[in-house]
Amino acid sequence: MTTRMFGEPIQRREDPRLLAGRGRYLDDLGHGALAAAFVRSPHAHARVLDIDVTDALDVDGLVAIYTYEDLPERVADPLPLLIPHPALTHGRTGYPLANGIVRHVGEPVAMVVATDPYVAEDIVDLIQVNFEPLPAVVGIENAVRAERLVHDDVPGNVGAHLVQEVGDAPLAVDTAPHRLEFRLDIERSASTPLEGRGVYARPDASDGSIRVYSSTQTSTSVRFAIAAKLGLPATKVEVIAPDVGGGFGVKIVHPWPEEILVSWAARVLGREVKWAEDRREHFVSSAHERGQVQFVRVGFDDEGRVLGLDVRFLHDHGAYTPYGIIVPIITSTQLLGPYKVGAYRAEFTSLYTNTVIVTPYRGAGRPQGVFCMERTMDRIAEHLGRDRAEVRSANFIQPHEFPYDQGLVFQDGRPLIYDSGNYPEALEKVKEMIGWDEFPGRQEKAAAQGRRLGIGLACYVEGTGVGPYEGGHVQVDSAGRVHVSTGLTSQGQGHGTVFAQIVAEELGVPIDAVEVTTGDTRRFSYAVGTFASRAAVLSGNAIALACRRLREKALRIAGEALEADPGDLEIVDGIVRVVGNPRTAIPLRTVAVLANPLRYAFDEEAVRATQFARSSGDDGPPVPEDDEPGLEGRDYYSPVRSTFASGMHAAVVEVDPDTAEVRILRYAVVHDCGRMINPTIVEGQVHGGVAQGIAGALYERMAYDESGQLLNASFMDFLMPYATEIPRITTGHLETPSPLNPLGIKGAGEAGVIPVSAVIASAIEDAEGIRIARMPISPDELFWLRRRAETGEVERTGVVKSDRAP
Amino acid sequence: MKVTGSAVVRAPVRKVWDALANPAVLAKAIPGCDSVETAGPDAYRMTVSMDVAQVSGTYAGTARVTDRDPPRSFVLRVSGQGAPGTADATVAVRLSEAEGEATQVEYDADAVAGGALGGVGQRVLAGVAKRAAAEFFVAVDGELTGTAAGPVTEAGARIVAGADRRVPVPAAPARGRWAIAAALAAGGAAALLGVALGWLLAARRSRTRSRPPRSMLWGTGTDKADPQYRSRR
Repeated sequence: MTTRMFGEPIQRREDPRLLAGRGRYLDDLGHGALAAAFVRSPHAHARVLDIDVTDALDVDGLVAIYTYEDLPERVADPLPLLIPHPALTHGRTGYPLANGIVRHVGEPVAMVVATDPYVAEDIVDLIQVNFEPLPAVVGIENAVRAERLVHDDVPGNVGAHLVQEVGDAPLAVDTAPHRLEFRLDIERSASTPLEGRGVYARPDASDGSIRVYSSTQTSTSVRFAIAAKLGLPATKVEVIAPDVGGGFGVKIVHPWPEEILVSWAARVLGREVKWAEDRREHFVSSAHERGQVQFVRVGFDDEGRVLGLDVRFLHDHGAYTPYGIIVPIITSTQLLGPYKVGAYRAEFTSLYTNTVIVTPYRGAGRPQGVFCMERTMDRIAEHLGRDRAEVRSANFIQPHEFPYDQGLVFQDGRPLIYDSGNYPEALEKVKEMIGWDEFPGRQEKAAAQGRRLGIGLACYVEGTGVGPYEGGHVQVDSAGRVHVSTGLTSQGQGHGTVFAQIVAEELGVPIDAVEVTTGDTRRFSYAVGTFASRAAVLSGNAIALACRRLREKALRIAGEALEADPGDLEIVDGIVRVVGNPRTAIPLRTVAVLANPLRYAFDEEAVRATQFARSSGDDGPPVPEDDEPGLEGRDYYSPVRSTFASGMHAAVVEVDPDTAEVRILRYAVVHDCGRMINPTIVEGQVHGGVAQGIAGALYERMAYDESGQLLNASFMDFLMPYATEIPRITTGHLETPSPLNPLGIKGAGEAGVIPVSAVIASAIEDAEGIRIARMPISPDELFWLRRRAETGEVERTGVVKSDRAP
Repeated sequence: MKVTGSAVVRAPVRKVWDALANPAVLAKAIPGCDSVETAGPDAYRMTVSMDVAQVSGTYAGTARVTDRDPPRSFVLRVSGQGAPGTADATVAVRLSEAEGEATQVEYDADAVAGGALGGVGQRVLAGVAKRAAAEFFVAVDGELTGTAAGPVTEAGARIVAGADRRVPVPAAPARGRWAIAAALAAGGAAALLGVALGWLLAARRSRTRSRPPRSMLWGTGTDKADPQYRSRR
């Protein structure tokens, strides 16, 4: 019998290769290629007065230096605004190379091509750019004050303004028995993949084509973008994502200036050109996320049920808006989490600043939304003197209420309708795992020893698997190998394992026979990309559907060969056989041979498919009408809307009474992503996400000074945590299948990161009795919060206040 | 692409205009010049070798002089072609008196480069052209003031130009005063035409960073290709 594959915690098939150093990342390719390097702006806002390359002319190995005026039409156009939205009334994008003005430190000004990257970087240092610095707009408060503008033609620095509402939230707040009003802050962080961006272009003069390798999350869309910019038909451009050392969102942005410029330069020079980003470049010229200021008004009843929630927030989107306003849209819609609120209003203003662009980073606006909602739940509980879990429970959407329509429009333009979930069960489970009910005793005991312990909890719902579609192609060859391809890319998710599990299960073949290719437009050209926790849902289902087509064809051909009804056949271990009569069987590889009628035999197996070997029982054509040669299947999955995963995290922290150091003692996760294809991989995703969440809660931030210089643009200063800072994470799974897709699955990629800041803030607040309204928090900040709490400048929790909003 | 620059030659205008009619001077002064010959009235043919960035090769070019106004100004139309690319340029040259019995030479070039040469970027081409022009004028200056081995600059660095070129130049029978005009203009459009004068030499020297001071080499040259001054549409 074939071992059941779907749902099995098998080991990642990618790891032996990657762990043995046999991965092929961007910079492992193209050793003979010319190297590109970029002169980038040292100013947050400046006019480019002059670019002097005199000193660079002397450097042996110089090939070319390009500035804006070298760029031909289309390449010289502003970069595309990828996701337009009616509310984005003042969308602006940058140029591939600065067109007279720079709007953030790190914006590319000139491109150098040289014989190797060392020479290229030396030349970058020799190019003198004369800038006239302009006043910089840094931080949300300066942006909204608008005393200075990032773009002269964008009044108030406002790129977008959007209101979504259900019911009359202001009225519901005003008339509620209890009311609270407060402000919350979240700072910037970034995806920070260990491998930065990179592009390697290989022009082929013989046919005018170009093959581009990019460390991207969407090779198909990069391909269309390059084709459009270079004025080529897409058939002349192939884009391949090789092994990618992490993406986390930043690599879904495209086309990056470098993707266009490297491809263009390669064609101009008729040479291979490669660029691999360095760490500082990544900090200042890729993308960031998270920064928001939120103003919350909430009205609730005696049980803590939210009757009205009115949230206004300011979102910092950086210097340009190539990715539209997806992040704040997600914040404003996913803020609701697993709760039904009486009336809801979310209003956001998305602002320009002279800082690096803001585009989705794992979680993509959800961590901010969840921080807002969960801090709100904690405040309600505190206000009413109720248990925090109990207040959440009182607001949950109940299992029988699905599908549940939140009445808003989600990031995919579709209604925000939750498909399935079981929030009460998840809460019970996470409480049990963390020891919620026993904690007060534990806390008290610790306090007696002078230790400060705190417990926190947070819940989230994550819309995953957004459309529009993905496809899958599955082919069985005459050796019995199964070749699977899908267009979206992989950055460590384990697609080569989980997609193979789906195929092994659907086709009844050994998983070792299955080989998976992703992110290669030569193999599959229609795709959207890897983001929004969508790969398993979209490509997983597409591949399953492709397998079902292939299986149907295999059974039909086998049925003819075995003179059996296809309905009586099964495929086990790569053998098609009659159910109950396993001796009447034919290997799938032979079926593959028969599926392709041949004139010429190229090997032993092929002989069976040649014209004189086949029975000529009927007069029909060798390939029947409506059929194709070959044993393969192709299909697409296009969901009507997103499927909503959910989860709850809880943590126990200990805070040092002297140093204010925060240590996480326990961390528990209950996670529900529907049917799991591979629980080990789901856990790995959750673990990685929690680690990134802890990073964002306690360590990482983007330290901009008032002139827009990023002060911590290195791994010396940007505190990415080590394994030593990450606690053991206990994971529990619920499996509430999605009714929306054939496999019943939901996305899992981003989940782990989403509620962490909210959980840690809640736990620190519980340990300290001091209001935590701003994340991330450092020991230094907590230390001073304590000082200010002593003088009454900062609120202590548990102090009963008036219901009147301040 | 526009390249503008100027240089001072330490001789009176008329002397510059006339004396440079000597084809030997001309041939010496154009760095990288393999040959110069007349090709009809006010027209010249020349062959030069040059390297621009990684693009190296020999270019065959023609130059035609128009709009003569001796000894003040002329316009030179040049076009060159070689394995690595093509170049076409129109160069306006003006001579005027400068302080101390000297001549101020100003040039204004508008050029288009094609092929591999066109791929090195406008800043590189303009930079090479300006440097080539400057070295050309230094060589001319050397010929006129009898310091043909190259004047010693204030900084004490020896300028290698003219006679120190790598290619021995046959005394091509260039006749007529426009030879020098061609040479001057060719200096201005050097990179484009492939009159890469001392650029190769300069590149070699640069490894020891002993280029002449910029004030002498570059005159008041400015590059008007700055992007912010120009809207593309």
